[in-house]
Amino acid sequence: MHAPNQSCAAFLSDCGKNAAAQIVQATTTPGTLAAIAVASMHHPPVPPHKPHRVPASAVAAFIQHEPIEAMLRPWIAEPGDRALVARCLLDVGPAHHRGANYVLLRLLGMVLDRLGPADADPLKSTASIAIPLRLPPPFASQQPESFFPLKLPTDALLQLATPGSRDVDSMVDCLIDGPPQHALANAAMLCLLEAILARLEASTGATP
Amino acid sequence: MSELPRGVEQAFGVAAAELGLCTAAWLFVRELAQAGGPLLVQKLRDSLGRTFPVLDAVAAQWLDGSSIPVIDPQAVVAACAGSKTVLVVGFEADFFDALLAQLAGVQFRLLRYSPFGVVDWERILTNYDERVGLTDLSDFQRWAGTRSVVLTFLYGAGDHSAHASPAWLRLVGEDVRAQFHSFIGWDVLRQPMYVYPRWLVEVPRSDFSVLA
Repeated sequence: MHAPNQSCAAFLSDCGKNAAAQIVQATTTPGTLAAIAVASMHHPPVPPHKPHRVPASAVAAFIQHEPIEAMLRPWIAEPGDRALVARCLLDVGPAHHRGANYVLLRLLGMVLDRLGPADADPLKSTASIAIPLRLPPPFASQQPESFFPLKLPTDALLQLATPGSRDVDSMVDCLIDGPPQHALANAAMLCLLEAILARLEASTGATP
Repeated sequence: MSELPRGVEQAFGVAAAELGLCTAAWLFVRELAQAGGPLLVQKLRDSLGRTFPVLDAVAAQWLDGSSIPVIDPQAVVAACAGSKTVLVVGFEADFFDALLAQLAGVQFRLLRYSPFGVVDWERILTNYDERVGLTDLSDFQRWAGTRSVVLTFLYGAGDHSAHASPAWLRLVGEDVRAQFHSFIGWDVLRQPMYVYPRWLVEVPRSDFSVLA
């Protein structure tokens, strides 16, 4: 059974704004009905909320750290550093980001694996940008330990914009900005994409 | 001695604030055991155990035959390898001293936060050399970095959760989890508490990169 206010809202929703306006005019004393009518005029009716099918506790239940840490090995030598980056990718931030990071990185890793082994270490970009830890401004520093152990590679960006151009700087800025789970996911995906491009180039002779 | 000294609860509170719950518990249990044996230790447990559950657990361990605490810092030392700074959340003097001796060249910062309220941290600091300093919730990120680890002391750890100082909850937010190399929990009690763990909080075991 609907509560009175819900019934009023449903009625007003059916009548439309003109009817709502008439009701407001006809109402001699301020009250709930008038308030609902005014709200209805300014805010179109909203479809009923559909609950999410996947409960919050299960959103990221499929996430595993081990494959992601293993995938990062060519770019991050020290296991503790890999664990730090994996923690930022998979344990920090909204659940849907964690899940999305996991899915996209795993799939990119599969693409790379299926392209075969690297010949002459094509996994290392010739240029990269350090990503700073997200520290409050008074505590930010240029010491190496104030940067994440994974850098943003930039070779692939040169296939999209002229080297040294402002566009490249802007792309870098977009990719390393935001919370750690964004910036590090961008860096990890670029590492994989550069390796994929390099292997494609090696196997097919294709050049950008 | 057959009765607990007057003021033992107040004395234990002061000792626990400056030495740590577990360190103070072993100190009091040892001293009372020497003075009055198992009966006095049992009286201590009955008198203060509900108020200080770590003391209750330590007294129980002693009554079960463990005469000294297990202080083995090797797993923590290994977890701190390559670190420049260890940020210490909560305090346990006996355990911290053992770790300090094993980590030459590493600096330590004690977080100036205690569930016991006002603690004379400067007095604690006088026991140590220049490698040990203090930091606060307002500036502990000065010591953040990829060569910095956060260490806290745990009071029993199960498959899914562990008991930590409330200071841990004050410090470890999602932002902080992305600012330090690793998070180490050192279980100094090594058994579950028998009574409600007053003064402590239950945290997920997954909070810790390493649980020693």
